[in-house]
Amino acid sequence: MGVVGSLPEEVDVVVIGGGAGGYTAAIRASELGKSVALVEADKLGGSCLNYTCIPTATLINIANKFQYAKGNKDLGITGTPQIDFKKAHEYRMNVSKKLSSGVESLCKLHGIEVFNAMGSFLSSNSLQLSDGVTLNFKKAIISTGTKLAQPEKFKIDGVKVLDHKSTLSLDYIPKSIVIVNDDYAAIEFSSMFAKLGSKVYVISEKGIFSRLDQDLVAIPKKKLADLGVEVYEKDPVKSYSDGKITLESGKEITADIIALSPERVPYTEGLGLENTKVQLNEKGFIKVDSHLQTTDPNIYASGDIVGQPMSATKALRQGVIAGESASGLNSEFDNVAIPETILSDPEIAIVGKLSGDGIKTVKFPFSASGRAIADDATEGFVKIAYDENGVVKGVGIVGENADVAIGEATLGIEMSAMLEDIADTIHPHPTMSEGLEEAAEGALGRPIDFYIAPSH
Amino acid sequence: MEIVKFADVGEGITEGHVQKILVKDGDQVKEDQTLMQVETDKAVVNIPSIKGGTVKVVAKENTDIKVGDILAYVGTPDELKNIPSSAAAQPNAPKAAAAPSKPNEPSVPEAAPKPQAESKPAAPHEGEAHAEILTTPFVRKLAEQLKVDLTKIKGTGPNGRIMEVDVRDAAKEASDVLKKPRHPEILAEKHAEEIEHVPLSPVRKAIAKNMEASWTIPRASHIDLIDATELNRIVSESKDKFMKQFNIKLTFLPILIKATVAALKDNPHFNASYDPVNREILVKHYYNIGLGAETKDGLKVIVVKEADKKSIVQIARDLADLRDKLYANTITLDDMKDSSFTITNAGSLGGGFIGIPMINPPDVAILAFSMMKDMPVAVDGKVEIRKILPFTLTFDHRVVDGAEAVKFGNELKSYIEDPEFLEMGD
Ligand SMILES: Cc1cc2nc3c(=O)[nH]c(=O)nc-3n(C[C@H](O)[C@H](O)[C@H](O)COP(=O)(O)OP(=O)(O)OC[C@H]3O[C@@H](n4cnc5c(N)ncnc54)[C@H](O)[C@@H]3O)c2cc1C
Repeated sequence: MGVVGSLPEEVDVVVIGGGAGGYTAAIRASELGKSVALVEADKLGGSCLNYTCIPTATLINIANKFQYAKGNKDLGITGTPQIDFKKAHEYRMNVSKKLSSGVESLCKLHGIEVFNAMGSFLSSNSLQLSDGVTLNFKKAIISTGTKLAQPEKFKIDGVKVLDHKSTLSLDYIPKSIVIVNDDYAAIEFSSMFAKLGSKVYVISEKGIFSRLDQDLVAIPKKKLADLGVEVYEKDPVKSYSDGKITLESGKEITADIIALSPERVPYTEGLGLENTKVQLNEKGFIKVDSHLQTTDPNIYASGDIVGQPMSATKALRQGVIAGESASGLNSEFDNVAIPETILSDPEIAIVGKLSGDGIKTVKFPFSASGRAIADDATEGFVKIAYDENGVVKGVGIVGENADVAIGEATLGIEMSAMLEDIADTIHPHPTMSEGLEEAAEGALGRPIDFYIAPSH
Repeated sequence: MEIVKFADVGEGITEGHVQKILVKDGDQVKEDQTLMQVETDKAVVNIPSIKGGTVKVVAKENTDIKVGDILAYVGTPDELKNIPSSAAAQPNAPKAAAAPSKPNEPSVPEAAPKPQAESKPAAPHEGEAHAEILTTPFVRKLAEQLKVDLTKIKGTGPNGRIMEVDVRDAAKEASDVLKKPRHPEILAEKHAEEIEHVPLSPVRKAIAKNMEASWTIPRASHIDLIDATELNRIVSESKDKFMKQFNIKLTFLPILIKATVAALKDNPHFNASYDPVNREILVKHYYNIGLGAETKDGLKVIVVKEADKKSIVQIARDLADLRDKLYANTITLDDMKDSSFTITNAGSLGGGFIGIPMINPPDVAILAFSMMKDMPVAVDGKVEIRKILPFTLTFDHRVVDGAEAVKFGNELKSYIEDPEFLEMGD
C-alpha cells in the first residue's frame, strides 16, 4: 500500500474498479507479463460478488431448499421445516466474503498491487488515489460499473424503502414485501420471498420481462401465482405515502418493505475523465471500439461502464479482452452471443436470437423428458432457433437447471454449429441436457422422443 | 411472380457487365423475350424473360453483376408493387461499398438484456452493417492476432465457415504482399499525376487469367518452315472459281485447318488435355479447332466444331459466319467453347518472322502460323525464291516430347507441301 507523500509509482497497467469487468482485466494483464495495479474503492469482486448476482443466487438457494423441505405430497414427503434467517443471512454474507477474499488472494498470487482507494485521473498517464498515492501508468482500464440513480416516486431510506443491495442484505424475513420492478427482481425476488413465507406483491410498470420472448416467461409467471404472489402489471405507481402505495387503477397496497431496483447509471463521477481524452456517449457510458479502447489511446474500458448489456456475464469476458488489449494484443470483443440466465422457478436461460428474418424455431417439451418426469419437473421446454441453412441462431430454455444446457448452446452458436452438430452429439441420459439434442432433432424433422406432425 | 437472375451460364463465368437493357419498368414482355444483354468475359449473353407479364428492372446499364444477382422481376403489376428499387436489390454493390473501415467490431449480442446501442463501438464505426461471419472463437482470436480481416475471407468449412487454415493462408498471403511496396505504390510516389489507371475489360481480365494459367504449363516449342508455294498457287488459282461456285472467299486458313486435323489424327496426343490430379492424358477423338481472333475488345477464340467431318468449303463458311457474329457482337458462348486444339494465325497481322504462342488451356498444344514471305531457298542446288510459311508448335512437355513435335511438324509440312492433298479440297 502506498504512503501519503511518496513519489509516484510506475506501473504498466492500472485497473480502476475491482468488479467483474475489472479484476479479470488485472489478472489477464498480469498473466501477459505486465506490472499491474488494481484500484477499488469498496470491495473486491464489485457488485456481482457482494451485492447482486451472488447474493441473489445464495438467497434463492436458501429459499428453494426451504421450499423442498416442506415436502411434496405426490412424492410422499411431508414436513414443517424451520428457518433461522439470522443464520441464513450469515451464510449469505460469508459467501460474498469468501469470494471477495478469493479475488484478493488471486491478485496476490499474480503480484497485482491492490489499492483500497478512489482513483481519479490527473492525465492520460497518471491517476491520483484518495489515499495520497499517485500512479503513473502506460495503460489504464476503467471498470467502474454503475451507481444507483435516485428513484422518482420513492425515497430510499434503508429501513422501509430499500434498493436491491439492502433487500439482499436483510437479516430477517419481512411479513410482507412489495417488489417494484419489470425485470430480474420482479421474478427472482418475488418467488424467493414467497417461498420464505412473505406475502409478496409485484408492481411491474411495463410487464414482467416484456423484453423477452413471452413464451419463456409464461411458466415462471404462472408459478408466481401458485406461490400466492400478487402481480400488478402495466398498472404503475401513482403515489406513495406512509407505507401505502396507490396504483393508477386505484388499488392500494401496504407492506413492511418496499424493494426497489433503481436505474443503474454509469459511474464516472470523480473519475477525472475531463483530464483525459475519454469521451462519453449521450447516455453517459464510455465510448469504446471493438478493442475496448476508449477515445483516449492509453485508456480502455470494460463492463457496465461501456453500456448494455449490463451483466456480469458480459463484464467477465470484456475484462479479459481489455486486459489483453491494454497489454498490446490485438484482441477484440467479438463474441457472437451473450447468454443470460434468470433464477426464476423454473429457470429461464437464453442465448442468441429466437426470432427474426428467416429464423424458424422448434420446441421440445420437458413433459417428454425421462429425467424431467423423474424429477417432477416437466414444466418447460427447450426452444431452438435456426436459419435456412440449419445454422443454430438461438436457444431458449425454461425448466429445471436451464443454466446448464445454455452453456452448450452458447458454445454451439460461437462455433457456428449446425443443427446436426448438436443433434449428432451424444448427450448423457437421463439428463435435462437431452432436451437440446431433441429440439435439434425436431428441427431436422426427425425427432425421437416427441412427435411433430409432418407439415405438408 | 418470377425473379430473373443472372444465372450460372457455365464456362466458369462468375461476373458480367450489363451492356444494354432492352425493356423498361411496366413494359409487357413475352416469355423468352430478351430483357437485357450482359457482356461476360466470353460473349454477350441475352437474358430472357422466364414468363410473360409486366416487367420491373432492377439491373442498371453499365454496372457489373455477379452470378445470382437479381436483374428483373416479371409478374402482375400488383405483385410488383412491393419490389424494392434498383439500388436495394443489388446484393453485391452495397457489400463492396460498405466494406467496414475497421471490421470485426463486436457483433451486437443478440440476447442482450436491453437494446445494445451503447455497446456498439465508438462513433467512427457506428451504423455499419455487420456481416454475419460463420467461424469459431479460436479462429476469430487467431484472425485478430494475425490481423486478418474475416469479412474478406471465404471460408472453406461447411456453409462457408471460416477455418483455421483459411486464416493462416490469408495471413501468409498478406505478409507476402506486405514485404515490399507494390510497384503501383512506388510509381504513385513519383508519378501519381502522370499515371492513368485503366481497369481491365471483362475480356482482358479473362485473357489475363487464362494466360496466367497457361504460364504454369511446362512447355517447349518446335519451329520449322513450310514451302507454301504450291498452297499459294492453288489458292490463287481457285479463288475465282470458289467465289463463283460457293460465293465464298477462299483463304489459306481452311486448308491449314484441314492439314492440321490430318496431322492431329496421326499424333493424337496433341489433340488432348492433361489431368494433373490423376496424371492422365485425356485424348480427344473429336476435332474442334479453336482459332485466335483479334477483336476490338481483345483476343477471342472461336471454335470450328468437328473440323474433321467438314469440307474445306464448309470450314470456310463456318469461319466467315463466326467472324461476322464476332464483329456484330452476336457470338454465343457455344461458338467459343470446347476446343480440342488451337491455331493462331499471326500471319494475318501484317508483320513478324516467327512467334512463340501461349498454349490455350486446357489444350495440350497450339500451332502458330507466321507471315508467309518470299524467301530465297536452295532447291536442287540452286537458289530459288519460294513462298515460305514459318510455324511454331508449342506443346505441354508433360504430355509430349520434342521428337513427337518434330514428327507432327513434318507431317503437317508434308500435307501442306503435297499438291495432291491440297487438290482434295472441293
Ligand atoms: C439485483 C441484480 C442482480 C444481478 N444478477 C446478475 C446475474 O445473475 N448475472 C449477471 O451476469 N449479472 C447480474 N447483474 C448485473 C451485474 O451485477 C453487473 O453487470 C456487474 O456486476 C458489472 O460489473 P462491473 O465490473 O462492470 O461493475 P461493478 O461490479 O459495479 O464494479 C465496479 C467497481 O468499481 C468501483 N469503483 C467505481 N468508481 C471507482 C473509482 N473512481 N475508484 C475506485 N473504484 C471505483 C466500485 O466500488 C465497484 O466495486 C445483476 C444486477 C442486479 C442489480
